[in-house]
Amino acid sequence: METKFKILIIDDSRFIYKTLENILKDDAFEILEQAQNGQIGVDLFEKYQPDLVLLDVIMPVKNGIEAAREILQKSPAAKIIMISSMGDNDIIEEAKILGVKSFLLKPPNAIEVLNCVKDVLEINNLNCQMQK
Amino acid sequence: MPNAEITLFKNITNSFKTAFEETSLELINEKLNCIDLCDQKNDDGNNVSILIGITGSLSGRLLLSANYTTVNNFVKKMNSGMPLESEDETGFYFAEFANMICGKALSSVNNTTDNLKLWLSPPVLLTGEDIAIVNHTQKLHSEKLQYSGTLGDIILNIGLKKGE
Amino acid sequence: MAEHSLKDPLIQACNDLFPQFGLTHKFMCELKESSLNSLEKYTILVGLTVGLSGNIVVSIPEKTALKIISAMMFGAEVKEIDEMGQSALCEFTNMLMGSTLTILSADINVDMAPPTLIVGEGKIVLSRHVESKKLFFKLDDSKFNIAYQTTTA
Repeated sequence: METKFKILIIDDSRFIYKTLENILKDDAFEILEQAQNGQIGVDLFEKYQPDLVLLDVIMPVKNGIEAAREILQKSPAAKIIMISSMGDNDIIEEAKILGVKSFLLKPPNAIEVLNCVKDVLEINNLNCQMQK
Repeated sequence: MPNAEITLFKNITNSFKTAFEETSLELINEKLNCIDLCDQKNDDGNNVSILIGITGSLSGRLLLSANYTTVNNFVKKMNSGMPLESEDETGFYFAEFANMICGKALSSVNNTTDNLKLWLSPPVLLTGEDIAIVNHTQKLHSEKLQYSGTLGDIILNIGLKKGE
Repeated sequence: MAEHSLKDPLIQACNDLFPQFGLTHKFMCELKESSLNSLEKYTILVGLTVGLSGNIVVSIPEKTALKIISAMMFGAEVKEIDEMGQSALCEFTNMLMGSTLTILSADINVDMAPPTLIVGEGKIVLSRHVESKKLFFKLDDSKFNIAYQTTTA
Protein backbone atom coordinates (compact mmCIF):
# COMPACT_ATOMS: atom_id res chain seq x y z
CA MET A 1 0.00 0.00 0.00
CA GLU A 2 1.45 3.34 -1.05
CA THR A 3 1.86 6.02 1.60
CA LYS A 4 0.16 9.27 0.78
CA PHE A 5 1.97 12.61 1.08
CA LYS A 6 0.26 14.66 3.78
CA ILE A 7 -0.27 18.26 2.75
CA LEU A 8 -1.23 21.05 5.16
CA ILE A 9 -2.80 24.18 3.66
CA ILE A 10 -2.51 27.28 5.85
CA ASP A 11 -4.69 30.05 4.41
CA ASP A 12 -7.67 32.03 5.74
CA SER A 13 -9.44 31.86 2.36
CA ARG A 14 -11.85 28.97 1.83
CA PHE A 15 -11.63 29.59 -1.91
CA ILE A 16 -7.84 29.08 -1.91
CA TYR A 17 -8.12 25.98 0.27
CA LYS A 18 -10.79 24.39 -1.97
CA THR A 19 -8.93 25.35 -5.15
CA LEU A 20 -5.67 23.83 -3.92
CA GLU A 21 -7.54 20.77 -2.65
CA ASN A 22 -9.07 20.39 -6.11
CA ILE A 23 -5.75 20.81 -7.91
CA LEU A 24 -4.10 18.25 -5.65
CA LYS A 25 -6.94 15.72 -5.83
CA ASP A 26 -4.85 12.63 -6.39
CA ASP A 27 -4.23 9.26 -4.82
CA ALA A 28 -0.72 10.41 -3.94
CA PHE A 29 -1.92 13.17 -1.59
CA GLU A 30 -3.91 13.50 1.59
CA ILE A 31 -5.12 17.07 2.11
CA LEU A 32 -5.45 17.85 5.80
CA GLU A 33 -8.01 20.18 7.42
CA GLN A 34 -7.73 23.89 6.64
CA ALA A 35 -5.66 26.07 8.99
CA GLN A 36 -7.21 29.54 8.87
CA ASN A 37 -4.34 31.46 10.40
CA GLY A 38 -0.64 31.11 11.11
CA GLN A 39 -1.11 30.05 14.73
CA ILE A 40 -3.53 27.24 13.83
CA GLY A 41 -1.09 26.33 11.07
CA VAL A 42 1.81 25.97 13.52
CA ASP A 43 -0.40 23.90 15.86
CA LEU A 44 -1.60 21.61 13.06
CA PHE A 45 1.96 21.20 11.80
CA GLU A 46 2.91 19.91 15.26
CA LYS A 47 -0.07 17.58 15.26
CA TYR A 48 0.20 16.08 11.78
CA GLN A 49 3.88 16.53 10.82
CA PRO A 50 2.87 16.92 7.16
CA ASP A 51 5.21 16.21 4.24
CA LEU A 52 4.44 19.59 2.71
CA VAL A 53 2.98 22.92 3.81
CA LEU A 54 1.26 25.37 1.46
CA LEU A 55 1.33 28.66 3.32
CA ASP A 56 -0.31 32.03 2.72
CA VAL A 57 1.48 35.23 3.77
CA ILE A 58 -1.22 37.67 4.87
CA MET A 59 -3.36 36.07 7.56
CA PRO A 60 -4.92 37.19 10.82
CA VAL A 61 -3.43 36.34 14.25
CA LYS A 62 -0.10 35.17 12.85
CA ASN A 63 1.14 35.86 9.33
CA GLY A 64 2.84 33.36 7.05
CA ILE A 65 6.39 34.66 7.57
CA GLU A 66 6.07 34.23 11.35
CA ALA A 67 4.47 30.81 10.93
CA ALA A 68 7.24 29.69 8.57
CA ARG A 69 9.87 30.93 11.02
CA GLU A 70 8.32 28.93 13.88
CA ILE A 71 7.81 25.76 11.87
CA LEU A 72 11.35 25.81 10.49
CA GLN A 73 12.85 26.53 13.90
CA LYS A 74 11.25 23.38 15.30
CA SER A 75 11.52 21.31 12.10
CA PRO A 76 14.38 22.57 9.93
CA ALA A 77 13.66 19.91 7.31
CA ALA A 78 10.04 21.06 6.84
CA LYS A 79 9.05 21.65 3.23
CA ILE A 80 7.11 24.87 2.77
CA ILE A 81 5.75 26.48 -0.40
CA MET A 82 4.39 30.00 0.14
CA ILE A 83 1.37 31.05 -1.91
CA SER A 84 0.37 34.70 -1.81
CA SER A 85 -1.30 37.56 -3.68
CA MET A 86 1.53 39.78 -2.43
CA GLY A 87 4.64 39.17 -4.48
CA ASP A 88 6.74 41.95 -2.94
CA ASN A 89 10.43 41.26 -3.57
CA ASP A 90 11.31 41.82 0.08
CA ILE A 91 8.69 39.31 1.26
CA ILE A 92 9.95 36.69 -1.21
CA GLU A 93 13.54 37.39 -0.15
CA GLU A 94 12.67 37.07 3.53
CA ALA A 95 10.83 33.80 2.88
CA LYS A 96 13.77 32.31 0.98
CA ILE A 97 16.23 33.34 3.71
CA LEU A 98 14.03 31.55 6.25
CA GLY A 99 14.26 28.35 4.24
CA VAL A 100 10.97 28.28 2.35
CA LYS A 101 11.36 26.04 -0.71
CA SER A 102 9.34 28.03 -3.21
CA PHE A 103 6.97 30.96 -3.69
CA LEU A 104 3.87 30.96 -5.89
CA LEU A 105 1.48 33.78 -6.71
CA LYS A 106 -2.31 33.72 -6.45
CA PRO A 107 -4.64 32.79 -8.00
CA PRO A 108 -3.13 29.30 -7.92
CA ASN A 109 -2.46 27.96 -11.39
CA ALA A 110 -3.00 24.18 -11.56
CA ILE A 111 0.06 23.39 -13.66
CA GLU A 112 2.38 25.65 -11.68
CA VAL A 113 1.15 24.24 -8.36
CA LEU A 114 1.53 20.63 -9.47
CA ASN A 115 4.99 21.18 -10.91
CA CYS A 116 6.11 23.01 -7.80
CA VAL A 117 4.72 20.33 -5.47
CA LYS A 118 6.37 17.65 -7.57
CA ASP A 119 9.72 19.45 -7.40
CA VAL A 120 9.62 20.13 -3.69
CA LEU A 121 8.51 16.61 -2.79
CA GLU A 122 10.92 15.19 -5.36
CA ILE A 123 8.25 13.07 -6.98
CA ASN A 124 9.29 11.85 -10.41
CA ASN A 125 6.24 10.05 -11.66
CA LEU A 126 3.14 11.89 -10.68
CA ASN A 127 -0.09 10.73 -12.28
CA CYS A 128 -2.53 13.42 -11.48
CA GLN A 129 -5.89 14.36 -12.83
CA MET A 130 -5.76 18.07 -13.43
CA GLN A 131 -9.11 19.55 -12.58
CA LYS A 132 -8.88 22.60 -14.86
CA MET B 1 -3.46 67.65 -8.16
CA PRO B 2 0.16 68.38 -9.28
CA ASN B 3 1.29 66.73 -12.53
CA ALA B 4 3.77 64.40 -10.82
CA GLU B 5 1.01 63.10 -8.59
CA ILE B 6 -1.37 62.65 -11.50
CA THR B 7 1.27 60.59 -13.34
CA LEU B 8 1.84 58.49 -10.24
CA PHE B 9 -1.89 58.03 -9.78
CA LYS B 10 -2.30 56.92 -13.40
CA ASN B 11 0.57 54.42 -13.05
CA ILE B 12 -0.99 52.94 -9.94
CA THR B 13 -4.43 52.82 -11.54
CA ASN B 14 -2.96 50.99 -14.51
CA SER B 15 -1.45 48.45 -12.11
CA PHE B 16 -4.91 47.83 -10.66
CA LYS B 17 -6.41 47.61 -14.12
CA THR B 18 -3.80 45.06 -15.23
CA ALA B 19 -4.19 43.12 -12.00
CA PHE B 20 -7.99 42.99 -12.43
CA GLU B 21 -7.71 41.82 -16.03
CA GLU B 22 -5.08 39.16 -15.32
CA THR B 23 -6.78 37.85 -12.20
CA SER B 24 -10.27 37.67 -13.72
CA LEU B 25 -8.89 35.92 -16.81
CA GLU B 26 -7.15 33.32 -14.65
CA LEU B 27 -10.19 32.75 -12.47
CA ILE B 28 -13.04 32.63 -15.00
CA ASN B 29 -11.18 32.13 -18.27
CA GLU B 30 -12.93 35.06 -19.91
CA LYS B 31 -11.54 38.41 -21.06
CA LEU B 32 -13.87 41.17 -19.91
CA ASN B 33 -14.55 44.37 -21.86
CA CYS B 34 -13.57 47.59 -20.14
CA ILE B 35 -15.35 50.94 -20.29
CA ASP B 36 -14.06 54.01 -18.49
CA LEU B 37 -17.00 55.48 -16.59
CA CYS B 38 -16.19 59.16 -16.41
CA ASP B 39 -19.29 59.73 -14.31
CA GLN B 40 -17.98 60.08 -10.80
CA LYS B 41 -21.31 60.05 -9.02
CA ASN B 42 -21.72 57.92 -5.95
CA ASP B 43 -21.45 54.17 -6.31
CA ASP B 44 -24.93 52.73 -5.97
CA GLY B 45 -27.27 50.33 -7.66
CA ASN B 46 -24.96 47.43 -7.03
CA ASN B 47 -25.99 45.21 -4.18
CA VAL B 48 -22.55 43.85 -3.33
CA SER B 49 -19.37 45.85 -2.79
CA ILE B 50 -15.96 44.94 -1.51
CA LEU B 51 -13.95 47.75 0.00
CA ILE B 52 -10.20 47.57 0.66
CA GLY B 53 -8.31 50.47 2.22
CA ILE B 54 -4.92 51.55 0.89
CA THR B 55 -2.27 53.39 2.89
CA GLY B 56 1.33 54.44 2.36
CA SER B 57 2.82 56.87 -0.12
CA LEU B 58 -0.69 57.31 -1.51
CA SER B 59 -3.82 56.52 0.48
CA GLY B 60 -7.34 55.68 -0.58
CA ARG B 61 -9.39 52.62 -1.38
CA LEU B 62 -10.39 50.06 -3.93
CA LEU B 63 -14.05 49.32 -4.47
CA LEU B 64 -15.26 46.30 -6.38
CA SER B 65 -19.03 46.31 -6.99
CA ALA B 66 -21.60 44.19 -8.77
CA ASN B 67 -25.17 43.01 -8.34
CA TYR B 68 -26.09 39.73 -6.62
CA THR B 69 -26.60 37.83 -9.87
CA THR B 70 -23.22 38.77 -11.29
CA VAL B 71 -21.45 37.95 -8.02
CA ASN B 72 -23.16 34.56 -7.84
CA ASN B 73 -22.25 33.81 -11.46
CA PHE B 74 -18.69 34.93 -10.93
CA VAL B 75 -17.96 32.94 -7.78
CA LYS B 76 -19.54 29.83 -9.24
CA LYS B 77 -17.12 30.15 -12.16
CA MET B 78 -14.27 30.68 -9.66
CA ASN B 79 -15.34 27.38 -8.12
CA SER B 80 -14.98 25.54 -11.43
CA GLY B 81 -18.69 25.80 -12.18
CA MET B 82 -19.71 24.03 -8.98
CA PRO B 83 -22.05 25.59 -6.39
CA LEU B 84 -20.33 26.70 -3.19
CA GLU B 85 -20.41 24.73 0.07
CA SER B 86 -22.87 27.33 1.38
CA GLU B 87 -24.39 30.60 0.17
CA ASP B 88 -22.52 32.45 2.93
CA GLU B 89 -19.27 31.68 1.11
CA THR B 90 -20.30 33.80 -1.90
CA GLY B 91 -19.24 37.11 -0.36
CA PHE B 92 -15.98 35.66 0.93
CA TYR B 93 -15.07 34.29 -2.49
CA PHE B 94 -15.76 37.67 -4.09
CA ALA B 95 -13.69 39.35 -1.36
CA GLU B 96 -10.84 36.97 -2.11
CA PHE B 97 -11.05 38.04 -5.78
CA ALA B 98 -10.69 41.67 -4.65
CA ASN B 99 -7.80 40.69 -2.37
CA MET B 100 -5.95 39.01 -5.21
CA ILE B 101 -6.37 42.05 -7.46
CA CYS B 102 -5.04 44.35 -4.76
CA GLY B 103 -2.16 42.08 -3.84
CA LYS B 104 -1.06 41.76 -7.44
CA ALA B 105 -1.39 45.51 -8.11
CA LEU B 106 0.43 46.58 -4.97
CA SER B 107 3.26 44.12 -5.48
CA SER B 108 3.71 45.47 -8.99
CA VAL B 109 3.82 49.03 -7.65
CA ASN B 110 6.04 48.22 -4.64
CA ASN B 111 8.50 46.22 -6.75
CA THR B 112 8.87 48.61 -9.65
CA THR B 113 8.53 52.13 -8.26
CA ASP B 114 11.33 53.57 -6.17
CA ASN B 115 10.47 55.16 -2.85
CA LEU B 116 6.86 54.02 -3.13
CA LYS B 117 5.30 51.67 -0.64
CA LEU B 118 1.62 50.82 -0.29
CA TRP B 119 -0.26 48.66 2.21
CA LEU B 120 -3.76 47.15 2.28
CA SER B 121 -6.36 46.79 5.00
CA PRO B 122 -8.51 43.62 5.13
CA PRO B 123 -11.49 43.55 2.75
CA VAL B 124 -14.96 44.49 3.96
CA LEU B 125 -18.08 43.20 2.26
CA LEU B 126 -21.09 45.52 1.98
CA THR B 127 -24.49 44.33 0.84
CA GLY B 128 -27.88 46.00 0.60
CA GLU B 129 -30.65 46.87 -1.84
CA ASP B 130 -30.27 50.58 -1.37
CA ILE B 131 -26.78 51.51 -0.24
CA ALA B 132 -24.62 54.22 -1.76
CA ILE B 133 -20.90 54.59 -1.31
CA VAL B 134 -20.23 58.31 -1.24
CA ASN B 135 -17.31 59.49 -3.33
CA HIS B 136 -17.05 63.22 -2.74
CA THR B 137 -16.09 63.49 0.91
CA GLN B 138 -12.39 62.58 0.88
CA LYS B 139 -11.27 64.45 -2.23
CA LEU B 140 -9.77 61.35 -3.76
CA HIS B 141 -8.60 61.33 -7.31
CA SER B 142 -10.65 58.43 -8.59
CA GLU B 143 -11.11 56.30 -11.64
CA LYS B 144 -14.13 54.12 -12.28
CA LEU B 145 -14.05 51.26 -14.76
CA GLN B 146 -16.83 48.93 -15.82
CA TYR B 147 -15.88 45.43 -16.85
CA SER B 148 -18.52 43.51 -18.78
CA GLY B 149 -18.80 39.91 -19.83
CA THR B 150 -21.16 36.96 -20.07
CA LEU B 151 -21.53 36.90 -16.28
CA GLY B 152 -22.56 40.55 -15.95
CA ASP B 153 -20.88 43.84 -15.06
CA ILE B 154 -18.31 44.51 -12.38
CA ILE B 155 -17.28 48.04 -11.40
CA LEU B 156 -13.69 48.68 -10.36
CA ASN B 157 -13.28 52.00 -8.59
CA ILE B 158 -9.88 53.19 -7.38
CA GLY B 159 -9.59 56.38 -5.34
CA LEU B 160 -6.28 57.76 -4.10
CA LYS B 161 -4.75 60.89 -2.66
CA LYS B 162 -1.34 61.85 -1.36
CA GLY B 163 -0.53 59.83 1.75
CA GLU B 164 -0.10 61.56 5.08
CA MET C 1 2.05 38.52 21.96
CA ALA C 2 0.55 41.72 23.44
CA GLU C 3 -2.97 42.49 22.31
CA HIS C 4 -3.49 46.10 21.30
CA SER C 5 -7.13 46.84 21.94
CA LEU C 6 -8.84 49.78 20.31
CA LYS C 7 -11.45 49.99 23.07
CA ASP C 8 -9.76 52.48 25.36
CA PRO C 9 -8.34 54.73 22.62
CA LEU C 10 -11.77 54.90 20.92
CA ILE C 11 -13.57 55.74 24.16
CA GLN C 12 -10.92 58.31 25.08
CA ALA C 13 -11.11 59.91 21.63
CA CYS C 14 -14.90 60.21 21.98
CA ASN C 15 -14.50 61.69 25.46
CA ASP C 16 -12.07 64.28 24.06
CA LEU C 17 -13.97 65.20 20.90
CA PHE C 18 -17.70 65.25 21.63
CA PRO C 19 -17.58 67.90 24.41
CA GLN C 20 -15.57 70.18 22.09
CA PHE C 21 -18.70 70.39 19.94
CA GLY C 22 -21.08 70.73 22.85
CA LEU C 23 -22.29 67.15 22.42
CA THR C 24 -23.14 64.98 25.40
CA HIS C 25 -22.34 61.37 24.74
CA LYS C 26 -22.04 58.37 27.03
CA PHE C 27 -20.26 55.07 26.58
CA MET C 28 -22.66 52.27 27.45
CA CYS C 29 -20.94 48.95 26.92
CA GLU C 30 -18.76 46.77 24.74
CA LEU C 31 -20.07 43.53 23.30
CA LYS C 32 -18.60 40.83 21.15
CA GLU C 33 -19.96 40.92 17.62
CA SER C 34 -20.33 38.39 14.89
CA SER C 35 -18.62 39.22 11.62
CA LEU C 36 -22.02 40.07 10.10
CA ASN C 37 -23.45 43.41 11.16
CA SER C 38 -26.45 45.48 10.21
CA LEU C 39 -25.70 49.05 9.24
CA GLU C 40 -27.43 52.20 10.46
CA LYS C 41 -28.30 54.79 7.81
CA TYR C 42 -24.82 56.41 7.93
CA THR C 43 -21.72 54.29 8.22
CA ILE C 44 -18.13 55.37 8.07
CA LEU C 45 -15.59 52.68 7.39
CA VAL C 46 -11.90 53.06 8.20
CA GLY C 47 -9.24 50.56 7.16
CA LEU C 48 -6.14 50.09 9.32
CA THR C 49 -2.70 48.92 8.24
CA VAL C 50 0.93 48.66 9.30
CA GLY C 51 0.96 48.20 13.11
CA LEU C 52 -2.51 46.67 13.21
CA SER C 53 -4.46 45.26 10.31
CA GLY C 54 -8.22 45.68 10.46
CA ASN C 55 -11.27 47.88 10.18
CA ILE C 56 -13.29 50.31 12.28
CA VAL C 57 -16.99 50.76 11.46
CA VAL C 58 -18.75 53.82 12.86
CA SER C 59 -22.49 53.35 12.49
CA ILE C 60 -24.79 56.35 12.99
CA PRO C 61 -28.58 56.55 12.70
CA GLU C 62 -30.08 59.63 11.03
CA LYS C 63 -31.11 61.32 14.30
CA THR C 64 -27.56 61.16 15.66
CA ALA C 65 -26.06 62.24 12.34
CA LEU C 66 -28.26 65.36 12.33
CA LYS C 67 -27.05 66.28 15.84
CA ILE C 68 -23.40 65.85 14.91
CA ILE C 69 -23.74 67.84 11.68
CA SER C 70 -25.61 70.61 13.46
CA ALA C 71 -22.82 70.79 16.07
CA MET C 72 -20.21 70.90 13.27
CA MET C 73 -22.14 73.84 11.78
CA PHE C 74 -22.08 75.83 14.98
CA GLY C 75 -25.55 74.78 16.07
CA ALA C 76 -27.37 75.59 12.81
CA GLU C 77 -30.61 73.69 12.40
CA VAL C 78 -30.18 70.74 10.06
CA LYS C 79 -33.31 69.03 8.83
CA GLU C 80 -31.87 66.88 6.09
CA ILE C 81 -28.43 65.71 5.16
CA ASP C 82 -27.05 67.00 1.87
CA GLU C 83 -23.53 66.76 0.43
CA MET C 84 -22.24 69.39 2.83
CA GLY C 85 -23.76 67.51 5.73
CA GLN C 86 -22.16 64.29 4.54
CA SER C 87 -18.78 66.05 4.34
CA ALA C 88 -19.24 67.40 7.86
CA LEU C 89 -20.07 63.94 9.17
CA CYS C 90 -16.98 62.50 7.52
CA GLU C 91 -14.83 65.29 8.85
CA PHE C 92 -16.08 64.59 12.38
CA THR C 93 -15.20 60.92 12.01
CA ASN C 94 -11.81 61.86 10.52
CA MET C 95 -11.07 63.81 13.69
CA LEU C 96 -12.30 60.98 15.89
CA MET C 97 -10.17 58.38 14.11
CA GLY C 98 -7.13 60.63 14.00
CA SER C 99 -7.42 61.18 17.72
CA THR C 100 -7.84 57.44 18.32
CA LEU C 101 -4.65 56.64 16.44
CA THR C 102 -2.75 59.39 18.23
CA ILE C 103 -3.77 57.93 21.60
CA LEU C 104 -2.89 54.44 20.33
CA SER C 105 0.53 55.64 19.11
CA ALA C 106 1.80 55.61 22.71
CA ASP C 107 1.63 51.84 22.28
CA ILE C 108 1.82 51.12 18.57
CA ASN C 109 1.87 53.10 15.30
CA VAL C 110 -0.99 52.33 12.98
CA ASP C 111 -1.84 53.78 9.56
CA MET C 112 -5.38 54.65 8.54
CA ALA C 113 -6.94 54.69 5.06
CA PRO C 114 -9.22 57.65 4.26
CA PRO C 115 -12.67 56.95 5.76
CA THR C 116 -15.44 55.90 3.37
CA LEU C 117 -19.00 57.05 3.92
CA ILE C 118 -21.80 54.60 3.17
CA VAL C 119 -25.40 55.78 3.12
CA GLY C 120 -28.26 53.32 3.45
CA GLU C 121 -29.20 50.42 5.62
CA GLY C 122 -27.54 47.24 4.57
CA LYS C 123 -25.16 44.70 5.97
CA ILE C 124 -21.44 44.63 6.48
CA VAL C 125 -19.33 41.52 6.74
CA LEU C 126 -15.88 41.62 8.27
CA SER C 127 -13.35 38.79 8.39
CA ARG C 128 -14.86 35.74 10.09
CA HIS C 129 -11.50 34.60 11.43
CA VAL C 130 -10.89 37.59 13.69
CA GLU C 131 -12.92 38.57 16.75
CA SER C 132 -15.12 41.65 16.31
CA LYS C 133 -16.20 43.93 19.12
CA LYS C 134 -18.73 46.76 19.23
CA LEU C 135 -18.85 49.81 21.49
CA PHE C 136 -22.32 51.22 22.15
CA PHE C 137 -22.81 54.91 22.88
CA LYS C 138 -25.71 57.22 23.64
CA LEU C 139 -25.86 60.77 22.34
CA ASP C 140 -28.59 62.57 24.30
CA ASP C 141 -31.72 60.61 23.30
CA SER C 142 -30.11 58.98 20.28
CA LYS C 143 -27.26 56.50 19.84
CA PHE C 144 -24.37 55.32 17.72
CA ASN C 145 -21.92 52.46 17.76
CA ILE C 146 -18.35 51.73 16.77
CA ALA C 147 -17.41 48.21 15.73
CA TYR C 148 -13.82 47.20 15.32
CA GLN C 149 -11.82 44.22 14.29
CA THR C 150 -8.02 44.16 14.34
CA THR C 151 -5.16 41.77 14.30
CA THR C 152 -1.42 42.34 14.60
CA ALA C 153 -0.11 43.11 11.11
